[in-house]
Amino acid sequence: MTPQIIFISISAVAGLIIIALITGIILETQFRKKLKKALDRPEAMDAFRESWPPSKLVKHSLRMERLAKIWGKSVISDTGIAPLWADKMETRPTKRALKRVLYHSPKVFVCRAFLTGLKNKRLTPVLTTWINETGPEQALRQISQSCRGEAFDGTEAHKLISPLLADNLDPIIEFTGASEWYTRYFAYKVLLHDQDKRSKRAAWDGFFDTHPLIRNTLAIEFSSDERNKLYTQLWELLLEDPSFEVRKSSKMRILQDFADLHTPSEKKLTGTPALRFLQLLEDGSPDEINIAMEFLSSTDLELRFPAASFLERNGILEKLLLTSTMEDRVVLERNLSMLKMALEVNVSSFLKKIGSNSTPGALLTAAKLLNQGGDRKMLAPLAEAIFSFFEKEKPGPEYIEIYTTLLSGIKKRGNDAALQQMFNEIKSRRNQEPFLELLLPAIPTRGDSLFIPLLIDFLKTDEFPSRETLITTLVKMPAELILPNIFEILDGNRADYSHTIRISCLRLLGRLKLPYCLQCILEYLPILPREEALEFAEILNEYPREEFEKKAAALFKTTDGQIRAALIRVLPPIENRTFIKEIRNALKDADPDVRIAAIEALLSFGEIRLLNQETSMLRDPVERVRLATARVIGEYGVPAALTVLEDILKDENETRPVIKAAIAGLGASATPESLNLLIGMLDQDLPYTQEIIAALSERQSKKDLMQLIENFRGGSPALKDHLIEVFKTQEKNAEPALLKLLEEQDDSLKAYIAEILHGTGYIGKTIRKLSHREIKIRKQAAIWLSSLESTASYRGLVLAARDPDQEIRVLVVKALERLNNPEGSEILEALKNDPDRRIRKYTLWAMERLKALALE
Amino acid sequence: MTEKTESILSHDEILKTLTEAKPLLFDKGCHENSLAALVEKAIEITHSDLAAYYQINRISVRKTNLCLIYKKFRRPLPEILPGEGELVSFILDCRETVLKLSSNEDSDEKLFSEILLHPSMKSGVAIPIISETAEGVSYVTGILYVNSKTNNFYNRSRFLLLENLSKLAMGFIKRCDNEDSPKNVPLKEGVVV
Repeated sequence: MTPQIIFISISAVAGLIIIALITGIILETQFRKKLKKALDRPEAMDAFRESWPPSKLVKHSLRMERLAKIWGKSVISDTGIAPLWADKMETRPTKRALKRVLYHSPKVFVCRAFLTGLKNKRLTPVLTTWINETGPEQALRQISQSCRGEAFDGTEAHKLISPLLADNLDPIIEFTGASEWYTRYFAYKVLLHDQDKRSKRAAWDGFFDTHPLIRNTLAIEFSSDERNKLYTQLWELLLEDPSFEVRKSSKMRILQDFADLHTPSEKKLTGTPALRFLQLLEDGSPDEINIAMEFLSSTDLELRFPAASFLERNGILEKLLLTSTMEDRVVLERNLSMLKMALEVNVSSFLKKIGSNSTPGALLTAAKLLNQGGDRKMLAPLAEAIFSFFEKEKPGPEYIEIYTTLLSGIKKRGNDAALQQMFNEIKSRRNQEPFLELLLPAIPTRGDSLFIPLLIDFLKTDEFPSRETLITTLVKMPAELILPNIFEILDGNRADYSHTIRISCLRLLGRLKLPYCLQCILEYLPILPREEALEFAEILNEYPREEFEKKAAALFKTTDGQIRAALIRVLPPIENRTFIKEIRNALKDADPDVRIAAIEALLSFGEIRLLNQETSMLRDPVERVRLATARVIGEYGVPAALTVLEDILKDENETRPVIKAAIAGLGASATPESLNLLIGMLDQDLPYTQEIIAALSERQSKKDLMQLIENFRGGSPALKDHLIEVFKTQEKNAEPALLKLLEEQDDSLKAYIAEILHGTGYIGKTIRKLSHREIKIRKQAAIWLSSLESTASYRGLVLAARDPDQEIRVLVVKALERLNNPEGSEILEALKNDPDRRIRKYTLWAMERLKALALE
Repeated sequence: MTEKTESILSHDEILKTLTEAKPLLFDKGCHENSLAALVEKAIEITHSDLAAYYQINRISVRKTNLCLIYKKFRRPLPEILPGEGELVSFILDCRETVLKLSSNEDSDEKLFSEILLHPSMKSGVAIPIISETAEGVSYVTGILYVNSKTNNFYNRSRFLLLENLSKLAMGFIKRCDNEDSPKNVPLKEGVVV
């Protein structure tokens, strides 16, 4: 390398350096110019910030620091670099960073610098130097005024400040009277840890500070030798402070440090203090659970709400729900009433605990609750649980209440999911009448679109068991959704739908009460059998009478005998005598059905004058006309009519069906004469005995029973046997009446009633009740058997002397003592020879006892 | 009182006799003394010839026997009676007083002949004494036997007196049982009249 080249190179480098220096000087001059301009004229600051944003300036912190020394702190505050310095100090705490904030930043950042210096021990000397340089009082005032309630370690702060103030914290105590809360907050944070009496007194006053953060800080951090006083103060904060944060801190402090003094159950809380206490109950504390249980039944809903929420959070409501049992109704009702209280304040999440493994008691409680309120969504899972319970367990009748309560809840409040559950249940129970009788009435009208297709399917099913309930359910549904289906069936081919289905449809159509369907209804009337036609008449009565008569008059003129017969049948029940002339003429109608309908109608209208004409109809060439006539005359029951029937019964040439009809007619009559006539025939042992027994078994009024028993008393053995058959046929219907007679009548009929009841098997049934598991039933049976005083009843009664219940045993002994008379001896003698050794044993025991009682 | 038991006593007289018996039963202080008083009193108020109290011991679930606790009769009586007899099973079954007024040999009337504890006896009464467990379940704790050498000796008055005396005793025994288990009561020598 030649010297020339070296010289050129050096010159070039020097030149470049000079250029760079010149450029730097120019740029620095321009920057300073711009900054100065911006500092002098605030409107120019925005333009400066655009080219020199704080994020860019922060990279020139040294330069800014120098300029701040020249032009003052406004260089830092106005350019917006100060917050970035403070942030940088907190993220990367260095002595320089801390100094920048303390010495060059605005005062508002002093507190942040203080906290950084407090946290980082190696920076603390910088902080103390600054405090000392500024003057401790002045510096602390700046710190307290720049503080905004930041959390910091009060102990460390106290350790730092106390020596700086030569252990005299009077200036800090003075801060507690500052108007700004943050200054007071800073002061209390420091004073809390000072043991000087004045500081302590100042700290006590802090409990009454207007700012919640200060009261909260004191509740958490203040400590004192006066434990009782501090506990009382915290208890007051807990009950009286309007700030939830302060109350919460007070409660936590009490639980943490004053558990030994804390006895809330001994304090009678009411009103707002009670509410505040209830809002902060301690989870899992048995004492506080008890308090909450008390408030659960409060009439003040504001107090009940936090109590219920707490109990729910602690699983108590869930426990009340799940421990309810059907076996203990008292507990169930008590739990239910408590849970209802919770429900009234919309606390109901505990119901989510119901599942398929819940007990019947829990299911019933949940169903009752959801009937009343709670989240409607829960009805669906409850329905699933209950339906599954009834599917798996095949529960007894005592559980039906669970089922019906659920259905009532779904009807009232069920959402789509619950209705879907119900829909599935109905579908699966389509052949089970007892369930259908409960399910169908529970279908709500709002579920029309979901349920109607299924209900129509049921309507079209011949074997559907709950037809009547189905019709009642469909009537409640919107007619526009049902009518097309009804007419599809009625107008359809007879082979497609059975007679039963068509009858159901007509009844449904009638009950819909649509005046514009009246003509169709009347034309389809022949579908209905006689008995149903009479019932249907009531429905027709609710249609406009004028319209009905107009249409009926037109139909009477048609050739269709079936329609005329059907029309005639419905007239008497609705007491419409407009067509009496037409009915009279119908007695001579060519159609036998019209003639039968006419006879029935006329007698129902009380047309006695026609009796002769009707009796002549007993000779009608068509047997079923003769049959119907006989039955109608019997039902009508005037003496003249009965004489006619008696003549028929005596007529050896009369056909058997007519005689049977006459007997049935006498059975249907309500007069004593007809009864005597039948009993008389029974005594003659005629070939129609079974028909007479059947007819007599229909006579179950008290008067009739008396008459039957009277005849039994004086009757021949054969008649007695027949009458026993009558009572047996009457079965359960006659028994209550016989028992009532037993209570009301004198002893004259007792033996006969006992004999009858023995014959019907009632006594045997009652004796079996003596081994029933329920005391009540056994006792009732023993009372009844003892009142009967017959050998048959005592045969069972003596065995009841071994009943585990003393009351029943006493009853038996008393009953046996009543046998201490000649009639009783007969019973005892009979029982003494009973084939059953146990009966003989108890009888002997009773006899010895009676013998002793009779000895003087 | 002695004369009055020979004829029917009025309700008030029965009450008076029992009132006199009450302090004797209750003042004896302990279970076995009280049972002794019961036996003594049964003899005294009815003028019977024999009285004994047998306690029921449950040996196993199905087997029981009766153990003599106290007697008032000059001759020896069985110290253990079987628990499977007609009388005991009847009493355990129905818990009622059983009477045997004569010792006929008629087939069915032989029933309950175990009431008569000695061949010389003609009529007798067996009265169940019922106690109660702490859970409130009642059970027959023993049987008081009272016998006489006379047929038809137990008339209305004696029967009612014995029934009521046993009720008084039951009240006391129930109280005693709470403090002292009857199983621990030692067999006491009979007192010879």
